[in-house]
Amino acid sequence: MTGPTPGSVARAGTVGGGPERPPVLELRQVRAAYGRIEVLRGVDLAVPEGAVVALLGRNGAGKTTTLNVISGQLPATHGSVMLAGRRVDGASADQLARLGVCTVPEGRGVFPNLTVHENLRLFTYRGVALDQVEAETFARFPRLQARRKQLAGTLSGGEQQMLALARALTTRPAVLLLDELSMGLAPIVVEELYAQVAKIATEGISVLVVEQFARTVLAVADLAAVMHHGAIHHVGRPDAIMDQLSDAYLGNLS
Amino acid sequence: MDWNKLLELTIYGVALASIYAIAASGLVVTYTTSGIFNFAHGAIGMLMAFTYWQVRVQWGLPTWLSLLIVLGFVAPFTGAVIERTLIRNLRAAPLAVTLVVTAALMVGLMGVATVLWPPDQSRSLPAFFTGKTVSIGSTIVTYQQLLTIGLAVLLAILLKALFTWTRTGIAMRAVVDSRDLVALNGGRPVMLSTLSWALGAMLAGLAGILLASGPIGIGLVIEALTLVVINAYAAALFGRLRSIPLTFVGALIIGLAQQYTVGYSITKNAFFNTQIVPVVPYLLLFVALLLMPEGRLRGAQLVHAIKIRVPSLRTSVIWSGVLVLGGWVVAELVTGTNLTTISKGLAIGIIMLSLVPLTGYAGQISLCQMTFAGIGAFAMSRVASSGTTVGFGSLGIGNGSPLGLLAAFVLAAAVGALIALPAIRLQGLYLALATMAFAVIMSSAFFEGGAIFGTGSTDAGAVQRPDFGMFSLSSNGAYLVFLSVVFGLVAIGVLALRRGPFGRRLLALRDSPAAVATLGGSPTRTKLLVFSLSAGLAGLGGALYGGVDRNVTPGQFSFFGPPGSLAVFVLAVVGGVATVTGPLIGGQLLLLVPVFFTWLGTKLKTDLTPYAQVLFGLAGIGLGRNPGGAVVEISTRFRALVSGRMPRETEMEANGPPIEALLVPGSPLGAPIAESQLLELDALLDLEEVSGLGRA
Amino acid sequence: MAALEVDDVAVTFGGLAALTSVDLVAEAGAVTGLIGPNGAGKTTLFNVICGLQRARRGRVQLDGRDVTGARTFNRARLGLARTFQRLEVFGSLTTRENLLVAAEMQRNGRDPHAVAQEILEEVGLTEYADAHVDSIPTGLARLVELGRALATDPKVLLLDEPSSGLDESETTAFGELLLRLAERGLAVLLVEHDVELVMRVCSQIYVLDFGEIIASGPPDSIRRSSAVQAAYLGTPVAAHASGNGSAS
Repeated sequence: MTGPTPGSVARAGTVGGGPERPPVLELRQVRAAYGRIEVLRGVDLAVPEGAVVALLGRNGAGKTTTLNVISGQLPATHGSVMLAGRRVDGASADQLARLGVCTVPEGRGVFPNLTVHENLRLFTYRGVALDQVEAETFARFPRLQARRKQLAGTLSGGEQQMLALARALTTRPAVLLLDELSMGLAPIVVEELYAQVAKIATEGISVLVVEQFARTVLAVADLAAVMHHGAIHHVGRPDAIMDQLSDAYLGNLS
Repeated sequence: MDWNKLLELTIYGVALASIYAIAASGLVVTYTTSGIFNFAHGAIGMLMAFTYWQVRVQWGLPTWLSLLIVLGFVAPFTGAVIERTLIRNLRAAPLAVTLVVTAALMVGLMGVATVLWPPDQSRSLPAFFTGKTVSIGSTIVTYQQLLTIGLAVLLAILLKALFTWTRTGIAMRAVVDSRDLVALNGGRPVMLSTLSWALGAMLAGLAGILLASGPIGIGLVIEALTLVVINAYAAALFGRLRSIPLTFVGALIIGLAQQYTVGYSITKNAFFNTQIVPVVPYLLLFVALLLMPEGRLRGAQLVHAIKIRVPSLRTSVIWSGVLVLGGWVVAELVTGTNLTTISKGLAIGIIMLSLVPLTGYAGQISLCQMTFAGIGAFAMSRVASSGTTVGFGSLGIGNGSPLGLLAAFVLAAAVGALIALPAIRLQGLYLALATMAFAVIMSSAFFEGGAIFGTGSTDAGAVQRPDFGMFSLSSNGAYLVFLSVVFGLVAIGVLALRRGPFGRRLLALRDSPAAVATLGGSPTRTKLLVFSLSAGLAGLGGALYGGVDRNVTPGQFSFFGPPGSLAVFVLAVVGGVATVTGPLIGGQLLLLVPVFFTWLGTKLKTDLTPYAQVLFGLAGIGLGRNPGGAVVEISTRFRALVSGRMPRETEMEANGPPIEALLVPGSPLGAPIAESQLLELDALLDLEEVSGLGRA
Repeated sequence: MAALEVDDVAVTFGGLAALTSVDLVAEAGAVTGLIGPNGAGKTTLFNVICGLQRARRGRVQLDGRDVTGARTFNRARLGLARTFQRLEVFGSLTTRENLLVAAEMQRNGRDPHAVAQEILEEVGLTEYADAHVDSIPTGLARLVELGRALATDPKVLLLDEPSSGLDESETTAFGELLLRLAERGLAVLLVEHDVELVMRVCSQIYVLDFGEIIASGPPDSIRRSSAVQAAYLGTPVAAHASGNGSAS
């Protein structure tokens, strides 16, 4: 079995996917807690096929927790997570990943003591030939080619995130969850990464992004959701959201 | 310089090192991949060697087939089953719990071996290629030695290949880097963990078989064989439990050191040769610990400790009074060996009380409490007697002087502080390993030296009962009442400690060492203090334990016993090491259960005594997972019964979220997703058919 | 002489620079703010100041005394206290016991029980005095941590995101508490995401980005700094493939 490139998936015509198609990923009234402390208080969110959805909000609003619930790292105490119209809450992280939900967690999503080559090789279990995986990766991120035999931990921060993205793609995901891709990276590198994220979405993969650099991510997002106090406060088109941003992050600045 | 001798010793040393390397790399693979340190690794090696004997010698199958059966099937299967049933649920458990469970597993496996292969019969394994040798110069090397060295080299190559060339091997390394990230990409850390345990058990088994059939003449003796496989732990420590190449280096150091010490001291000093040389690997373990770099201070753990109501002073005094009354009633009703057995159980209970501040409050582990007990008994025997004939003389303060008890406490506490020093700055696992090494070293180099508790023919093992003048403790009944009084007083003290500043600091230390440091407390000093206090209490208990029979033997203070440090620790936890009732129950269990099984055995005309050990292992495994132990378990259920509620909720409250809830998200609330459903979804979302998304 | 002075501190994690030459001063009697995006190195800097993280270079001084090589608990004894972003409360102890542990480590001759009671009232936790800390809400647990730090009678107080988990009115009350503490002569260094709170209580603000101080000054100048806005909100991606969405 050789998988086609993700690009073979027809992109949903309009943002939002249209009512006739259920979203690839949907959260309905999801609640979750750490111990007895409730962090998510009823999250509703839909990610259409092939769309980039940005999840914004202050620290502690529950963004990363939302990703943790979707990726199966934290059980929802209430509500449901739907993947392609089926309930998947209750599946473990590795089951979900094999179902097509791949997560690049906060921090560096690479295995530092494995080489670039090994990082790429690790999760090619959809029967994709390694050569093909590497060819795709190096086409997408040419900088990684020269580093093929290098330990991932010795790469620069930006290269590590490129590798993390590339490795996530080797699992042939339907949904990609990205948590703070930009953490500790220079703006120029962040731009390069998000340009690739936008490209990935055009290939049919749905992307849910948690990001503090709101402007950067809004430039590539199709939809933006603002979280506050464990719930989605507002969903809208990026340009509309942008106006409210300074408020949400820096308080009354101007 | 005798070059031939050096060559010979070197070859012997390298062969021995090869076995250590095989066992140690198994330990390292298991630990790095599953995150759980397997104290029972040595016991697994021992068990597999016996299994091999069963197949090869008893059933007479050919060597190759026997090896295939044991190493190809039984060992991996055993490892995998252990991982599936016990280890998997421990992933999110505190370190202390994981150590308790694997230590209990060691007890249980040794019990199983005793049941299946009763030690009354002597067994031996034939060497591989018996009699075949080659000569290098004038040195004769057996084929078995060459085989052993060859196997270690082959293993090194195979492991290198596994971890470099296969996706499974790379995934195992990936798990070491980040287990979560592996799962997030669809890898199955759980499967890898099972695999690592299967591999680990296989390597332990191979090492066990090579040792039992090999040149150093261990033979098939349960305890000795287990201990020799445990020698390999020191090698793994040289590799910081992570690096396999460094582990091989460590094994080489240990193997050579052991052979050179044998070879070059045999004519000089008999004591050194028989008492020190066997424990050279354990001495090297201390060296390895000293070389370990200090890690960063640990922060808070997610797993919530169990909350136990601390009785007030009034309550603890009342209950101690009840205990003394109970002791008096028992002393009136029970006679003979049953009375002394109960007394010993109570003395062991006092020794177990010493674990309450250390393990129950501070979350640290000691596997050498009986060693401290032995030191206490030694102090008592030398201070509170009028004279002895062997080693170290006597202070001759007088028969039964209570000063002996003081000396027991002080000496044990001082030794405790000394021994904890190299390990105390490291995380709890290393303290546990250091205490185990210390127990083995002291047992061989001190207690069994003949100068301490004699060899049976002298009166050196005599330990006086304390003499308080007006109350005579010479009758066994009076001594039992006295032990109840001491237990009660120590229990009151331990509880008062918990209510006071030091107790608070111990719990704080367990919860977050980093926070303790930022408030101005030194974590190292606090740990040292509590370890020393604990050692002192164990010493006191040991002095009183010796008084029950007025005589002790070296074996009582060894690692395996009986009663032995290992079982004392496991049963203290079984009873409930965060409470003072737990040690009371634990001590009685440790002494009475074997008596009961023996009695039952005589009724049924079979020897059931070894089953007691199996039972202890099972109890430790079962209750080790509930850090509260039996006391809390029972009282929780009892309270639930009284209030008419199911205990479920209370348990959850007591333990925080159950471990399973952390492993299988959603399981306690929603039904876990069915496998068939998963397959369906898998097909649905497989990108070859991704255009069909959502149509179903 | 400043209560806390950080000179030229640099930290690297396996080749990656977490902090490059950070200078910072916190004066007694004032709240000093330290803001910056996630991953900028704020918590790392706190760890360096209190000795949980070794710096590759640079010095830390408390009241003019060089403590660069000192152990964590020795720095604490010199009057340095902190809270943690990832809570480090003693969960199996009650609120009061948490405070007692801290008070009992001091050798200032004060009765720890009196200190604990005083602080319970000051931070408003009397109601939860005898509750086990791992069963109270996060916001309150943060107050327990603050109270515990105060119980050491500190001269310098490092607060790592103390207001997250507090609601609006609690945050307001918390801001007032910070100002009271400063009035008493404490040097408070505040890492906080609630920029409004920072602007309200701080007299001096440092902005950390990529392990470097990119701006410092009184609240007004920070508010106007475009570098700060860029650091917080990022810059829009100039060109990308899909052309969807739009940035203002």
